[in-house]
Amino acid sequence: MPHDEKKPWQSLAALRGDPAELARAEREFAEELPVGPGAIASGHAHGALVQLRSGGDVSRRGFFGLMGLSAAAVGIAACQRAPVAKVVPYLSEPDGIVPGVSNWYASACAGCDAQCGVLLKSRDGRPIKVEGNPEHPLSQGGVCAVGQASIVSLYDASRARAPLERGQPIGWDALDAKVLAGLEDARSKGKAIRVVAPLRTGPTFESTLAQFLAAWPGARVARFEPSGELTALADAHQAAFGARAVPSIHLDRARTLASFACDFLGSWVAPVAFARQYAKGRALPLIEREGGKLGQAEGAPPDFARRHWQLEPALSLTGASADRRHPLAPSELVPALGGLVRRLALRSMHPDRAAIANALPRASEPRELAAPLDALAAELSASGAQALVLCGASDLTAQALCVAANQLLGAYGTTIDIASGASLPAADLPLAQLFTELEAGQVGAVIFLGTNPVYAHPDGEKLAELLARAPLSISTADRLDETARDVALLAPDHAPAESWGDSEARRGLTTLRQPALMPLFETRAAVESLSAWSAGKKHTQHELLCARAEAELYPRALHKEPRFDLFWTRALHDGFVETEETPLPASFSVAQLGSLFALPLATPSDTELWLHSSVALRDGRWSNNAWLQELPDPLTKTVWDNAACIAPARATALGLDDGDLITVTANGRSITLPVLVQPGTHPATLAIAIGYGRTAAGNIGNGVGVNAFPLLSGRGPARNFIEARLVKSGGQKPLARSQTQASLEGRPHIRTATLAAWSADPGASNPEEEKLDSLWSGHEYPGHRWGMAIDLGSCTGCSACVISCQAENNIPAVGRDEVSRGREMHWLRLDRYFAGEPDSPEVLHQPMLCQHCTNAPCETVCPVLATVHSSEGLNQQVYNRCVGTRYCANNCPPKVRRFNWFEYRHDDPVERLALNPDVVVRSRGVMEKCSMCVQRIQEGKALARRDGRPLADGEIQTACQQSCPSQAITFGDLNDPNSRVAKLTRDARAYRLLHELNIGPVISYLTRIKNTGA
Amino acid sequence: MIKTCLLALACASLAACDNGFLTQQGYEPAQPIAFSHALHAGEMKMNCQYCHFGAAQSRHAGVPPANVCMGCHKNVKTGSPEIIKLTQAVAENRPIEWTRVHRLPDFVWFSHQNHVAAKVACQTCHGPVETMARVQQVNTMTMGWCLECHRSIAADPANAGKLNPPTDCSACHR
Repeated sequence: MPHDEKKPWQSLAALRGDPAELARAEREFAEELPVGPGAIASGHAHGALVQLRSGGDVSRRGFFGLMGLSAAAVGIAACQRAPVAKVVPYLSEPDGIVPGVSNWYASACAGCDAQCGVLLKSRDGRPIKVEGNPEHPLSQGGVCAVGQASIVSLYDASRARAPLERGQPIGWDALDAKVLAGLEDARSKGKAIRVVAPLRTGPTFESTLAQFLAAWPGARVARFEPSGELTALADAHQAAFGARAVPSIHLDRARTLASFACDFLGSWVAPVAFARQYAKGRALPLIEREGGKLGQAEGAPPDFARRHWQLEPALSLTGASADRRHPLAPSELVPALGGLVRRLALRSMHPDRAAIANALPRASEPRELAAPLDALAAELSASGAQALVLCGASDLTAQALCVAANQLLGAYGTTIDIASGASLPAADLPLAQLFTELEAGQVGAVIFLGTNPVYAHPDGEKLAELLARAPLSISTADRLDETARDVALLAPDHAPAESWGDSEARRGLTTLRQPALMPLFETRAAVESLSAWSAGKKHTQHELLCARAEAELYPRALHKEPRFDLFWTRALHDGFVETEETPLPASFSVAQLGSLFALPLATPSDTELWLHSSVALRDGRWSNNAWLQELPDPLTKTVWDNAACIAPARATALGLDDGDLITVTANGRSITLPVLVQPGTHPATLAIAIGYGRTAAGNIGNGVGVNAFPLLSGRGPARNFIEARLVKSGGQKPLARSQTQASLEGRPHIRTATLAAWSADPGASNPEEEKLDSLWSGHEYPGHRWGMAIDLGSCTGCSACVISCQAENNIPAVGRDEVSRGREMHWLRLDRYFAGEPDSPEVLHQPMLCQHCTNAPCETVCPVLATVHSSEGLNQQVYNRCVGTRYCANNCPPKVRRFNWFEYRHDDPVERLALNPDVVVRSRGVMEKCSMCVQRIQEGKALARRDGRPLADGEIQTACQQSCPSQAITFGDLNDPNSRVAKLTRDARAYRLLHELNIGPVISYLTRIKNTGA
Repeated sequence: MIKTCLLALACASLAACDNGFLTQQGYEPAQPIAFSHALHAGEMKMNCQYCHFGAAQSRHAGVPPANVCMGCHKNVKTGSPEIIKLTQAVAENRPIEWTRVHRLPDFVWFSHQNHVAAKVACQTCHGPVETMARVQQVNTMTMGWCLECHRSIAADPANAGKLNPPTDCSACHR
């Protein structure tokens, strides 16, 4: 069936007009309730695997008959006084802790290696929310989904609570004695002492590790990075410039940006910082439109015609934001990059251009990319130093070609800079050598510092067996993970929120981490363990950090203080320190770089594996986090699973459909997992997310998805290009997906326009809303009128807002089965739409939340007035009045209301520490939805009242707004004509949903503008 | 049996009328230490917020931590049996478990700070505490009772622009 090029579609089934799909779309709530009279839900809210103890099917009528009896019983039971409650104050109240008032600590997020600056909101001595640090130069207040979810990982009930020896508890002193004895034994026998550490840690960690290595001469460190992305980047730059560092990148300065499979908005290197720069660079001026007349442009950057090209094997979050996207096979990445470099060399004035061109690999580029590469090279060259080429493949040749491209463009020093990069430690011992040494029985002691190669290394199973040959093996993991299970001693590390530490964001910028609570369990910081195992005095983590700060940071601080303690107080308050540093010595060497071009290339095949990090789970370290498992992947909308993504055309050819199980074989190993037919995938590609299939993450993460790491080759530099075979293995595993239940019904919820069209007419693709008659007399808003504007052009779909809302509002995770029934509880969701051809569609994201309609359809149908309109424009949901008829959800046009089908319990004493005390926890049978963070609104108003001043615009931030790395969400007072939200609402790009229904939403969406023109 | 149930249900619905039936009005529990507000707040005229300092800063007024009591009672009347209970608790590192008198249901969010900022006297809601030897809840503290005050203040034109107590549901139910 031919479809309209411009008209968005939600899923392939909807595109086909699949009758079964459309029939399913009509029912939001199942008619036959799958519960019986004895059905009780169990499982804790944050871990929430809801288990049903059911006694067979009961019809709705019978169900309510039974409920009637118990309702009467409840009435009788209420005839007594409230139970006796105790109030227990401190014996001695600590200074600065006031029950009910939050304390904020600047710290560093530990979600990934980027370590963005965050503020930890603490209540009664424990952190309950992660918010961005607006003053941090890189993240500028943004926090990604993984960072937001880290609060649950802090209160993870599966964490190790004490040191263990082969699973049995042991005291710290006894453990230290065994370790020192074992290390001494290894030294005296001349056996090797080996450490496996993460690649990117922090300066204090590295100096403590150096002290350990000095204490045990002959000890060597192997670095392990599951995704391999930083390793390849650092290796390429080391060869090219002699500087082993992660370059600092400035996307906001790039007029033309070419990304070769680089998911910089999703998971690559520092997604929050990049999202901020990207949004800033592409920001459009505001042009008001009132009654057909256009106002003056406000806030235009001088040159705003940016273009982003993406060439990638499978649809990524970054590819979804690109102006131009071309699919290509993994084996074509290097030839395509080579073709680009050759073209750039022809146009460049760089002195080494001939040498670079001569050293290029001989692989020919794919024919269908010739024309796009011509156009791309022309645009990049025209932008000169304001161009940037990025590559996300963990392949050394690809990274080297990328360095060459940027060098030819003259980008180094403008959009990318190695002199201000963050240094990475030198590669000391290849991990492969550790395997050899273990096998030969040469290893006396091996220490895993928070690394998990038994899970994440392709030869992990072999490593597990080999570990038995080392007399002493230790892990500092925070739980008995896959590697820790096979070692002798577990010396569990603190959670990041219990730790002191630092990390180098870029040269001259050190982010500081400080703890926000006392350690929950008998754990010990990994740096303290290292210190204890080195010769000499044992130091605490605080001492180690302060010692380094005083020696290295204080003398060179940009902001001088007369004494160290003054400097340190300010540094901890800010969360980061800026220091004067000499630039990293970097000199370009064509010869060294050229040698990387000569590495063996991947051979094209008809099935090539593309292993990538998902936005939610990344490299799998937080698998035991229910929020992340339940976060729908922005591109595939799957939860609690990974799947092999395959192109629609290929699926048809092979006779595969969603959920069909296939066996994928590569590098001599096989895995079986379900297929997902995903638009935008290159026909030869099979895209699988790593980070799944863990077996020792904890009771939430175990057995979720399939581990794809074994399919990598353990040897050789090429990581992402893998030739694979796929075989239909028979059987089905239906995938749990969110969103694909509803249908667009052909309505223009989501609007885009090209930059050319917008430049000609700012109201392009956005007809002005006509005034409609209404039955209602309308509400009056004498004081504030809260509203929101969401810029679809800035929104990348990263889903940080979804998790931030979940953290702020005590929203439970419901588990796989319930999500497949459409019962996920997220108040804010991201709707994904495609437009254009299924082979390479445009992707559009739309955050969907309660629209707080002025003429709300839900308010008129509630029989008990549990949902009413506030005097400030909010649609309120009063949980204690709600009796659960669900009529409001039935009547809600954007379907943003969520019903509590079960009692999502919060029994676990550790997990419940993450709850926000300012928001009620809803019980079974109650409807809930976005409240516009009314608790934050009240808090803001109360503060202003207390201080006797009017509220400032931007002072109150909803949780979603605060977290958004792109600052796409704006909240504020519509009654204030000068507020940012009021201006955005009047912008020519602004539209409201379903105008023809006259529901009057206060959420405005701004049309997405793409620079797709010639 | 059915008639009894119906009668009970009828009574339950009567409680919705604000006559104190089935509320905590009059609740005057015994406390682990016989602290007398009549003595401290009444005779000695101590300020409510000297001990209940949370009231101006937070939603919880709080019960004072033992260190506030010990500020005086380290030296004052140390021989009294009730004071000995206090000092023993502090010495044994055992927090004192007071019985809560005023307690709103979990679905109500109430902030002392807002009311203190609006200069509502403590006695307005808690009654003449400075006359109580043992604290008693004197008001019904039902929603209707709260709304009486909220509505009448909002309706009084003298308060326009200065005091605006909310009557929106989400002010207290969130």
